[in-house]
Amino acid sequence: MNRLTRFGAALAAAAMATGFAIAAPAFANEFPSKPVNYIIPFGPGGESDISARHQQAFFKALTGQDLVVSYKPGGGGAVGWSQLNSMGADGYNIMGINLPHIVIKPMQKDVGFKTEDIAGFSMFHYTPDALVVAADSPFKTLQDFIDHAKANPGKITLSGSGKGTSNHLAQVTFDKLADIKTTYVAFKGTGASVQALLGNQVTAQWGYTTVGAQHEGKVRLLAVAMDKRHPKLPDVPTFKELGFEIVSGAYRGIAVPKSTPADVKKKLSDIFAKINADPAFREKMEGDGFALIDVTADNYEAFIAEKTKEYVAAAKTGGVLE
Amino acid sequence: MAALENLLAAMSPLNFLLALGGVIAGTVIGSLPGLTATMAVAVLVPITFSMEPASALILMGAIYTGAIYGGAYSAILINTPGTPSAIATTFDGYPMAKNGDGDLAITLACIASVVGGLVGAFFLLILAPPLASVALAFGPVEYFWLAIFGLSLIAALSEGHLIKALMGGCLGLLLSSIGVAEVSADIRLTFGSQVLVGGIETVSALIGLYCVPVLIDLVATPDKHLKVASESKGIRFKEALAISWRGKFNLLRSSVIGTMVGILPGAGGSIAGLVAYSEARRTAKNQDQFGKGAPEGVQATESANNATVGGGFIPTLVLGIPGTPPDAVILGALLVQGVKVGPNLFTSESSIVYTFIWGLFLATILMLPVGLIIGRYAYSSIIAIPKALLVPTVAFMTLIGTYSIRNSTSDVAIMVILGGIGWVLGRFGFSASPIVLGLILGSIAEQGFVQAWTIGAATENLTGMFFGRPISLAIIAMIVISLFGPTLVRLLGRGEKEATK
Amino acid sequence: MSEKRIRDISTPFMAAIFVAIGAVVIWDTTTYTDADSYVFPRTIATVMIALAILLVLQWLIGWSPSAKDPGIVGAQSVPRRLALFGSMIAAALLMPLLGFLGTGMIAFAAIMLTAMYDPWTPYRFIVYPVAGAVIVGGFYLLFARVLQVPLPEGTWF
Repeated sequence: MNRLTRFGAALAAAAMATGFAIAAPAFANEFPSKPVNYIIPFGPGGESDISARHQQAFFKALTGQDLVVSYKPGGGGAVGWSQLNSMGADGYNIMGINLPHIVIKPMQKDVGFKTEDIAGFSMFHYTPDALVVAADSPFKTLQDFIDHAKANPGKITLSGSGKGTSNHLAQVTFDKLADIKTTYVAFKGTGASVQALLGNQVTAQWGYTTVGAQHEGKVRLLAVAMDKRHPKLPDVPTFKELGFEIVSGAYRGIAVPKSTPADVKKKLSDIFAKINADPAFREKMEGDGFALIDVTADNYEAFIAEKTKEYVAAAKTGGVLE
Repeated sequence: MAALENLLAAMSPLNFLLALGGVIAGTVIGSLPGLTATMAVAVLVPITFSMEPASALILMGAIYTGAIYGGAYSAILINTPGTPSAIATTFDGYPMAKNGDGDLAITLACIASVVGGLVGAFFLLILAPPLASVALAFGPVEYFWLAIFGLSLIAALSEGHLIKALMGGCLGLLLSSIGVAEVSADIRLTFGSQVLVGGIETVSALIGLYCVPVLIDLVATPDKHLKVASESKGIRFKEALAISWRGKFNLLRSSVIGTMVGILPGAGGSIAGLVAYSEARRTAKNQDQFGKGAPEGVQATESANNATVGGGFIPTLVLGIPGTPPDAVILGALLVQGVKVGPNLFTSESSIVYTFIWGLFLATILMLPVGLIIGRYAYSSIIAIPKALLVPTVAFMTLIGTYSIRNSTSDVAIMVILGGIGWVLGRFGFSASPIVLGLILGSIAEQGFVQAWTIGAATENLTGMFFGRPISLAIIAMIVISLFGPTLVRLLGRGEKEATK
Repeated sequence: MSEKRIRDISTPFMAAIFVAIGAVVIWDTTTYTDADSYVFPRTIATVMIALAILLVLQWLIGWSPSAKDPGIVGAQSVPRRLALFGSMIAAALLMPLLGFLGTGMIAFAAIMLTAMYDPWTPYRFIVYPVAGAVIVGGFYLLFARVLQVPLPEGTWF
């Protein structure tokens, strides 16, 4: 039994040590008075994760509290969003949200959440869709690409992240506008899709502006789906300039459980709006290829309604929705 | 000498402490089923914001490498891989422990992990930029064949009943397709249940299929959990060293396999371990001992999975494409710190990378004493605790560990139910390992196949896609050899005997 | 020899279950919209059904590799097995209602009683529950506070 006692003592000591570690926080009445859980409904390393990590340091500086990032991957985000509203609704649980995911998924099948059940309070950036080729590709301009596609219908293969996603919808939309036929190959996440591009497994990629920023020198962007050129990529034309009406991308924001009090939600909205306004934050995000937007709790619903129309139209064309 | 400078920087007192603390914390975390290296590294990220990039990398790398080794403890002692990388460790580690050689198995695993870690770090140091091209040479079809190679291990694990093992493998493959499909937009096999939308989480399935049946059988008898030699033999270090020296080729081959598989984004430690195990078994003289407590099995898996740490950093740092999920977290942390990954990192900002690589060497070497001490303690605790405390403790750990993977109570229920199903299937001769192999390799096989098929069909060259690429052909050859090699050898052998008659 | 006969019947029984699973999968695949989604599960399900049929044929001609004898009977306790499995299922279901700490304590106690073969001496009577409380509490703190896992709080309290 000697060993058993020793084992017990060790466990007790461990328990006490952890107890001390927690005895620090919480006297101020001001929200937040303890760490805030920030759940990313995807795995690590993706655009959602990286932008959350950028916010982390600024959140701490602004509020004095930690923003604790954790991952809850599965079902293309559905695992997280279907459980969002059953989490503690005190403002200390927030979750990343993504467009078009939260619009398209619930329309396909019952995935345990509805678009209107998600109480978003901020949409803070988007990654504009971009047509990307490897640096050594013969396609120098978008016109080269279109010409080749017209001569070889269906033979151009394009990697992209998932189906029913922004990349996929951009491919569908562009094929229609340019009157070409290409083959979309879905990969799991942008990382795998870039890997396929760099390895010449596919002809080109429907990626994001972030691909251009992070793989500088190894890839060339033919065009980006933005209103104006991206500050980090001043030489890359927009589709609009070239005569194609595409402004699209994956929009990312943050939501709280539905029953979170309105004043707490407002405070969170203000905090993240302030982070978004910080020039240092903007510089870091734009340097990584993100494009910032400033949707707050007040205009969230209008924004979603507008985007829903666009996505649904594209998804119907692409056969993702019936 | 810049190299020396970086080596000294890695040895600074702060970095030394970070490496030591990281390895200790990593080993403990890895040994708890459900706590993965990814999670441990993710928790640390905010702390690293205030550090120098090299120190941050050393801390995260040390935790990561420790966690991959720590997964061996629970694999050996309670038949539950603490991390998916340790799946193949259970095949021989747990039988060794049951035969009273748990202490030896843990020491062997420690030595193998250190060797693997050093080999992986060595390749990272010397050959990272050229090796990164391996990651790019692997297209969808190569991933598909690699997954099939992993699945071919089912035949070896069939324990004499091939059909049942293959049925189990199919069941695992089907389980892997539950939920929202990764690369197509459909939701599959959920039957309207929202619990299943997220699919079956791999680590919770491992815990259920491997650990719950052990617990169910543990409570059925008053017998001791593990057989224990009457007198304590310590950590049996000399014995383990001798075995390791005898198995040096196995260790080196497995480490190289681990490094190469580690370079492939998305493949990871579990596949590295399985491939190395399969190769060790194929080339071994004592093939019939595999699965019954062959030390070579533990050595192969543990050296391969720790080699993936160094290997996985290669595409992460050179290409900016994370090799494994923990690498993805580390990549995110580096981006936030403003470190631009890419081949330039190995030239312009070389001090960060080389300080880190030396730190990884340091952490790996520290793993030897740390691993032996913690391993000794883990072993003596497991055999000392009376059953009435051991079973509820392990059961409780499976509950909290499964929950924590993605904060989901549904996963906990799925884990327990899979455990029950696994136990029943086990009674009818369907063992857990083929199911697990199917589950782990299913999504890689499916994605690779669908992508390769789509590209092949678009370019009107399906045959060339599947059977015309050199790397694919090499993997196919390996599959054929591992499946039919023994039969061929036997046939040839018989021919020779008859000829000599 | 009754045990042997039971095991013999088990082969077609298990094969039937696998065929049924395969059939359900194939039926489910008919609802998918994207060809990429059904190719894989449908192929695997078909292979699985074929293997199950092969298994039955093998059994019919009486050629079957000697299975490992699981040895279910004898001194082994079936009720305890069921109690352990039941406790774990109950814990999984109660977790959202009772919260993690409460569920953990109850499950620990129940499983401890299930696994208890030694007589209850006064020493054990005191040390075991205390050890249990320390283990559950310690892990709870480790996960909830140090690793910041949001463990379920429970809706009943």
